Amino acid sequence: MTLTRLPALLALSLLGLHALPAAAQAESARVIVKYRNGDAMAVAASAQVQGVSAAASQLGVRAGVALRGKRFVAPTTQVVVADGMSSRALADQLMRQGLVEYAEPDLKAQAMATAGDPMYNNQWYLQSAQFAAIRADQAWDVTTGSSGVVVAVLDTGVRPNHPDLTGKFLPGYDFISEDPNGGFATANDGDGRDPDPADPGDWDASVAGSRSSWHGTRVSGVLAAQTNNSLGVAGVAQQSRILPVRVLGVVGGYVSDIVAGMRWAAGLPVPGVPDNANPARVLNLSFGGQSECSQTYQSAINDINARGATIVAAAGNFTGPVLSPGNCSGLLTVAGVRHTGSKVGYSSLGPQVGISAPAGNCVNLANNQECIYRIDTTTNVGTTSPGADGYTSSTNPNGNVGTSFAAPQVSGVAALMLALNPNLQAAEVIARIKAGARGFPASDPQQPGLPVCPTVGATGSSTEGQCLCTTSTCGAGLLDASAAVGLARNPMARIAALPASVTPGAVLTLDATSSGAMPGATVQSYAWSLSGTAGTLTSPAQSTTNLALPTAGSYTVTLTVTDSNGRTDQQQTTVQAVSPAPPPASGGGGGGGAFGWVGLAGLLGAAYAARRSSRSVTAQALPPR
Amino acid sequence: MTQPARIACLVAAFALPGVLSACRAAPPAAEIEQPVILAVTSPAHLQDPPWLQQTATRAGGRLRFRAAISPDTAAFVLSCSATDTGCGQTIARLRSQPGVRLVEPDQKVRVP
Repeated sequence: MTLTRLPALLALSLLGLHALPAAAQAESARVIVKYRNGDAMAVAASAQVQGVSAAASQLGVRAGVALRGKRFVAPTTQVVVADGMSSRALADQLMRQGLVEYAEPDLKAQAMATAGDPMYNNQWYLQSAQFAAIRADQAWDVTTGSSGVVVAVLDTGVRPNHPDLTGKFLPGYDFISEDPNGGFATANDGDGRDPDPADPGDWDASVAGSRSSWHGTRVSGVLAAQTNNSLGVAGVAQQSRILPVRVLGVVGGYVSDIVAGMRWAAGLPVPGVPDNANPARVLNLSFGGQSECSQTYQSAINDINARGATIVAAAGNFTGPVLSPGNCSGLLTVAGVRHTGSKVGYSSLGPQVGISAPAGNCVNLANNQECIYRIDTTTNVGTTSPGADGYTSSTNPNGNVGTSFAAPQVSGVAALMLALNPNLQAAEVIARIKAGARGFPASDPQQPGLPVCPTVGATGSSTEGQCLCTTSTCGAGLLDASAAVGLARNPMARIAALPASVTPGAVLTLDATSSGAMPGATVQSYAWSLSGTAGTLTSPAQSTTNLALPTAGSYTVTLTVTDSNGRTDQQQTTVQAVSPAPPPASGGGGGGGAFGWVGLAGLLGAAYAARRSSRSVTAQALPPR
Repeated sequence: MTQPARIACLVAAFALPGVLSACRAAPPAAEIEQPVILAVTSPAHLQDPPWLQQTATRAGGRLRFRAAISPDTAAFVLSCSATDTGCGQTIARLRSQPGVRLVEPDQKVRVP
């Protein structure tokens, strides 16, 4: 969308109207396109030759869609229609193909019950008009969440009495312990661990002009601010409650305290700390350090996943490789995109990213100008110690941006999904969020010629600024709350763990009895199928079946479950049948047979672990920007 | 601080974290300190201050308890020779001790 058209949308919003895609009302797609200047289609459009059809027809040929031209809204801007697809799908396709300067659903204004918060009009990222917006407004038509779904915010603590977060906070904990060299400079509250997660401020008294960030309060507002309370902003997970876990203080926090807080948040025991009576189903980690994923982080993530909690982490704001713990496995790491869907310059990127979401981009860069695509949220206005509660600034340089605020959008969507289907496991939440993601655009209408994001090497580089996202740099796509919530209703196909390899002739029992469905639904049928090497399934329509693997090869098994609502889900797994290795040619050295490959693998693993553990790392800052 | 006093402080630290400050003593001039995360193969080891101290001594360092992370993992301050940059060699030796599952430097994740 061009900036000149933004006021019109805002005006609609101010009138209490909310824009819905026309596709919600009709089967035909209806999209506004702006042809590129100099393009043959633009020439045809300018001349408006052959009525209104020529440019649209040319565009349709290039896009592979039968398009019909409608009225021109400007000399090179036209409404086009197509049958058999939604307006959003058509607009997304045209944007991905890079055929036009922009393509947007032709919106039809409709009165609708939506967030009545006065700042909601500025919360573009929750809505549907901008290409990268997460469409939370559409998801809220299905669910606004549940107070039973707890989301932990591991951060600087919170301002507990912020009026837009009233009733949101569960009893949390302050995990910041005494500094290694004694004292409580990091904690800044005069003591170590205690049950008070209030944020006393994180300004660094040793640095002139240092200000408190109120980072945890800002993250909390994006995640789950009170909504429809005629106050401030709306949150993504409107009904969820927040478990505040204070792990960051002055100049950050120690991994030891962070990991202890993560474990406690998920309901795991931490010696010396009372058990958490409200275990979180989602953990939001909007911080990171420049290091490899430590074993301490990875071990905690594995344990937390086993408890059924989903972990969401910010990729970082360093333009290079993903920070830790976002570079660990078993969590969902979030990179930041601009409103147009291209990667915002400051966002970290790389193969560990699982999804992208709006992180805020100001467009205007000069001081005191409006930061247009900011992420408005709750905060405190105290510069050092707590002052009055309030909201983030609308102008530079303090407009609220950073991957710290993309992550809680994803956490909020996870919470909406779990409200609908609490039976989802962590990996299933993550898989569905990814599966529901929309594709990245092939071009950025505001930045013609923008390069594709480069592959980030192990050592990283500093050349990955604003760029066009790919699935190897920015994850599966753009976060789509509506699609993810829709996928949360699907049943869960689950195949019990199998050995990675067996010997030819083996018979394995395949077990799908742990498959499930959302509350109110049941699994109605199972269907097993086999591809790859030819084998035999004894009971392909039962919850358990035997698989015979007669010969060496790769056997891929697919399980499809269907629930009582007619919804389906699939899981696939591959088993290798491997013939035993021939005995090694003996050349002496007898007696070492028991060592073999297992022992060697163990040694290699130990060497790898040692290398990982001993690598020198430097802790670096992440958010906020 | 004498060895018995160190052990007494370690015992006290587990029993009553508040006494930690009383136990603190600046490391000798020839020593440096490195925050570490230590995981053990059995939770009982973390409840056994003499075992911890002997293990650290064999690695050429000293451990001071800082905070619990899980039943088998805790944060410590490792003291080592000032010539051992970042206590890297001492950490390597500590990793090889029986009953030790993991030793990592405890990094501070910074927020601007």
